[in-house]
Amino acid sequence: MNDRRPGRGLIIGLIVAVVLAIMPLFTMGYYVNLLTVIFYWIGLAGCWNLMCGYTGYIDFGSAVYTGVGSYVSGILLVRLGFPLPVCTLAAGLAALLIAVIVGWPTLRLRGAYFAIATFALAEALKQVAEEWTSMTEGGIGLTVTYRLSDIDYYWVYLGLAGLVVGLTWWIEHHKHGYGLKAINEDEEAAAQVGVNTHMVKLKTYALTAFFIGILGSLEANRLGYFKPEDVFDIHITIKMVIMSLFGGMGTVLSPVIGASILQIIEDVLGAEFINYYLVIIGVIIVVVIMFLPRGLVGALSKIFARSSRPKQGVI
Amino acid sequence: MLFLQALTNGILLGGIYALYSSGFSLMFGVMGVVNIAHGEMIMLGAFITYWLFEIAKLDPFLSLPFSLAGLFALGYLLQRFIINRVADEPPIASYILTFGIHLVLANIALLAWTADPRTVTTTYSGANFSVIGIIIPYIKLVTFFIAVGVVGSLYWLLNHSRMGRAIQATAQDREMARLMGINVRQIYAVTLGIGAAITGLAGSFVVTFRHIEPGMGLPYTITAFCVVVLGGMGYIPGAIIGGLTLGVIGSLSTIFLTSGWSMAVTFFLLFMMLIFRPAGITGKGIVE
Repeated sequence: MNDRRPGRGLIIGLIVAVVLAIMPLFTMGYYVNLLTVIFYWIGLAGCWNLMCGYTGYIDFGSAVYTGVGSYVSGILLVRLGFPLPVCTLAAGLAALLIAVIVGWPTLRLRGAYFAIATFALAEALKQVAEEWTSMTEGGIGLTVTYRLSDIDYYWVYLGLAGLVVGLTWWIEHHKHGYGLKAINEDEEAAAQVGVNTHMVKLKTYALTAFFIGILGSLEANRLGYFKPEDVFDIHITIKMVIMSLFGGMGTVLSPVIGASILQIIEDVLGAEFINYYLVIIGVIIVVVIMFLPRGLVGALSKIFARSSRPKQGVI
Repeated sequence: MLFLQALTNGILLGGIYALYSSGFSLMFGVMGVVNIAHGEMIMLGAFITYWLFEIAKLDPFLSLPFSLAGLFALGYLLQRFIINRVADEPPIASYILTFGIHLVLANIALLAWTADPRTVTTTYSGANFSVIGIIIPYIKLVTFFIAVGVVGSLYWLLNHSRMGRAIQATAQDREMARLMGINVRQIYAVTLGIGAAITGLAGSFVVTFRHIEPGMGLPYTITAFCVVVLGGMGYIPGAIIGGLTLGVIGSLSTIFLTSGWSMAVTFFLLFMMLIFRPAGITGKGIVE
């Protein structure tokens, strides 16, 4: 808590961001595509980590917000012809609204209720999107014709990923973040020393849902075509969980490390091994929780312990 | 008449809901574990019955001891060697852990058995009788009474057996139970074993009237969530009340709505409960 100044971390972060930002001017194709997808997942996992990694409330239905984001912006774009930025913003706000509606009752209860409600909501909304064919085209899928260029998505995702990571860093070093950590340590004690625990959780949840909604809407737009089972897919949530977990939940860099490593692994293993891939991912989750409860970041920082204060892990 | 028929169907279905949700409720009540892999335990019980029927031509009702024993062993070993390792960590560790177990079980089953839907058809599968025009299939009626009987016995054993009282003591205060000489980790393993065994039993019933496939687990897990929230999380008799309520509401809503919308109705119900009465209809659920 002694270091409030930006310091070395920020400078390194900025240099990395600048290098990444000008990189597509020199290389094209495969690497740009892979990095675009990695940035997308850093953004998503970063949101999951900010809410769940810091507070210990586990959201098993984050795909709700990618799904709602995709459909809100898709429908506005296709049916009403609104410009893309307006649609994207509307997608974020719709996700935020749903997060408040879901979070308000459940975040006051035990973490189990939050996990259950979010888990069930994703499934319920997927069914609604399947059935409400007059609006969503149901299982036929929605085609979005208007689309940015690949390079634009690269920059936009880089910006959003940087924003989420930067926001996480900023929150960690400010009052709101202390509240989040206090909730994770001991919620009752936090409430007793004057943290409005319900509001802190709800604000964080709404904020992360907003970003997930925006990312979801842009991704649906980038791919150009989606069905309910694509955008409300439980595997989207699974990836957010495992990427945060792999890096070590509740640290600024965990989603960056987790998303980069896992997305590269997935790219190598390829989509044709999807069933094996899920078995492997399941085993990784179990092994990480059993043997590396602080994730890769936690394990490494333990080995290279440079400060006397251990890194804050969640579980 | 359609209404009465739907009501009857709902009540009969509610018995199964109660059966597999009581295991979920037990695990949550004793260990605070939200078992995301719950639906996979139903799936495995169903497949044990299916394969015994296919290969050994064993009657589904005679295969019950096998799925009971098989799932008890699975539950016991899972808790003993995997979930117990995080027993002292915050409960979220167990949510994520069971989430990983869900992925492993569902996808290994998918690789082994493919996604083909299967069911068990016996000579008496379609047999039924009717009372004032309401059709009641024998299988569902027998299943209903066994289900309610099993949940009732579970509750009775928890209150009247030595092991049951040890489980309750552990649930109330783990440290105190340990000081009183209870082997807490052993109790946890037995509890998960019992929960899994009952759940597997429900799976064996499910296969007699529904199609099963390796990916079937998720909707069952969600239904179990809804049932225990309705009845009160961690309160075993609540599973019967919650199961019957959800069975009837689900069955009635399919008269007017397609199955997709009735799923939405289920969620809406869960959501309303969380807002207005998180401790369940009985008010005896664990909230804080």
